[in-house]
Amino acid sequence: MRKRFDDLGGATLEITESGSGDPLLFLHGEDGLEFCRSFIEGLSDHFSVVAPHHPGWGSSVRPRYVTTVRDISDVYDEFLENMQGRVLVVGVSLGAWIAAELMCRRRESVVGLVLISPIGIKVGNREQRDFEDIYVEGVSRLASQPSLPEAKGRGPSLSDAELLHLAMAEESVARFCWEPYMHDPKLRYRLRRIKVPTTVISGSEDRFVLNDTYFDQFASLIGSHAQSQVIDGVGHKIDEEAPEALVKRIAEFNAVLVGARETEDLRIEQAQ
Amino acid sequence: MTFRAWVFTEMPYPYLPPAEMLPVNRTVVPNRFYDPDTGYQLYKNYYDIYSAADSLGLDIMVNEHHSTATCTNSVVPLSMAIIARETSSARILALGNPLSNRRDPVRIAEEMATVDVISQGRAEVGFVRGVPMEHSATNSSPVDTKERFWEAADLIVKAWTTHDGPFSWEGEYFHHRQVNIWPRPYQQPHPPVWVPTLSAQSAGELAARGFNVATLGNGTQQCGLIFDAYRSKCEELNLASPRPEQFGYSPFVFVGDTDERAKQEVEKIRRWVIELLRTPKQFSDVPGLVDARARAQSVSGQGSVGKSEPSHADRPLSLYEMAYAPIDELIRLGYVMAGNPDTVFEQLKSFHDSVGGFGNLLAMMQYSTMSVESVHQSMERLANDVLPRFNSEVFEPSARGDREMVSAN
Repeated sequence: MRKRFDDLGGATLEITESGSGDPLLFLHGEDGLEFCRSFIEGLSDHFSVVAPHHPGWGSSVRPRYVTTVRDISDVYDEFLENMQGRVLVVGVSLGAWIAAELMCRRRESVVGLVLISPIGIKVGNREQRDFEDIYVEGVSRLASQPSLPEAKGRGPSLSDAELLHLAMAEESVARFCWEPYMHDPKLRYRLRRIKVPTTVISGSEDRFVLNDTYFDQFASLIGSHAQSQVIDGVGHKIDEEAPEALVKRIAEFNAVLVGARETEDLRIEQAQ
Repeated sequence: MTFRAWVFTEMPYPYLPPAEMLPVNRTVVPNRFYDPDTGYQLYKNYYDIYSAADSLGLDIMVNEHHSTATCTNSVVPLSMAIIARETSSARILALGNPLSNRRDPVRIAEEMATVDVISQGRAEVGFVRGVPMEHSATNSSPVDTKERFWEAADLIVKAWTTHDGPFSWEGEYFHHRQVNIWPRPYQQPHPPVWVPTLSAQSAGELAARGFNVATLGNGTQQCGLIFDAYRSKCEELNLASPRPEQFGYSPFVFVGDTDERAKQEVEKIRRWVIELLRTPKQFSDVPGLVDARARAQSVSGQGSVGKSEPSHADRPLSLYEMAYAPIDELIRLGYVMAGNPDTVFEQLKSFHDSVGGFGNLLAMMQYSTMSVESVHQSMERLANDVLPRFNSEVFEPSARGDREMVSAN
């Protein structure tokens, strides 16, 4: 595992690189990279994984002008320009929202998109919240009493470094997701502009996302090149709860993409 | 120059079911627990207290909170406007307008200017950041509250003091193309501005801006540190020495006919403080409000309370400690002033001297179920039997420099 820092217009990103294989850009969820290490390790068995901390998380620096999820996706737009090869973009929850925003604009160099428990769109009416209000339920593990089943598996006693990491992550989530709560009302209308093959993966026991059809709607708003799949028995934080199963699904998705690519290459070759 | 005592009640709704039945008291308590008829009577009582304060020559302080039974005054400009018309001489302090939770500072400038004109220049305007519990109640973001606060304060002061407008404002948080408030404030250049703080560090910033500093319920020692920081900043910046009227402190106050009866009555503060303990943790520990490092440390220190906590003398009492400390201890530490008029005079004198002098007692005089009659008697004794003597024997000679302040500490 290697660490480096990249400066992108004042956003200094702390980046972890690991593994070998096809390049994969991993965009973490609300709590940063600290609690999904085994997932990243699993991915590293198949891919060359590049995992930055978003501006405001970990040691990544947020410039003052970065105040929305779209602003974060702008930072990654520039970041992607510097990545070599054909990249698979994988995001979890908030990271999936960032990835979706990013892919509404960008197609070059990205071969596929994996959105794990994505948030970011609104499907309910004005009196139907799509996401549990974490600020009423208790933000999280800082209170040492996980109220959402997704937090299972993370012990109540965290180290001082983990607590600091989480406190910074929670501050950043409050900054980017407070209002509109966990979504951008306009994103649903932009999703059709995502042109790469996409898979939306959700957990059957997700209790953070309150609408049963949310993930299916997310995929269908992208289009017929997006599919929705469910992993049974897990909640919202699939990367923490079922890292192996999740890595398997991603590897399978990539294999299909590679297979399709090879078929396409062959077709072109034969045509020539 | 006169010492001022400001009568203050949070206008509590004290009839919630007990904590065993309803463990929380705010934000998520359905308002079916609020009976409008009872509420009507309570408002009548509270405004009667304020009218009586005016008749006694006392001043008046109001505040606002949201979605909570602990304070049913949820809109300070409204209560100020009512008081402006129902009183004739009291100064009317809002402590305050929650700048970080309000979306439009220009509207605040208009509201306060309106009250100032209606009251013929009796408005005193507090700017507050707002309490953590209210970020959910008002849906205002808990991040950048300090930055929003200061930008809003700058915009309000500019709106008050610009008389050849309109002017344009395109800041980081607020945008207005045509700022031009009507009416403008009665007082020139603008009503006195107050900011409450619990930290010595913030006190310096208030001094630099010439805003009055208030500190609420945090004891003699902490209050003294805050006032000292304010004075030091003035000195550092070569500003004029701050006047006593720039300093305010808010304790619980009850003046009885005897010490014993006063202490019995002031025991009611416990119910109020215990009410405050019913705040659910997730609403008081909102990410983004305090520095992440401090927030993480407060959690990591949880297992070692006692080991790492400083002694009482070095920090304000926690609400829990206040709820269960003996009244005599709360009096000794400056959280409470209670007793017969002579006793309260001595407590006030001791506090005054210990904090290097101050000009405003922001007296929380009604809490919990304390009756109008009881508060009225307490106010009467304060106005007639404590303040005149305190003014002539302590405050005025100290302010003139004719009396040496003798700190009890």
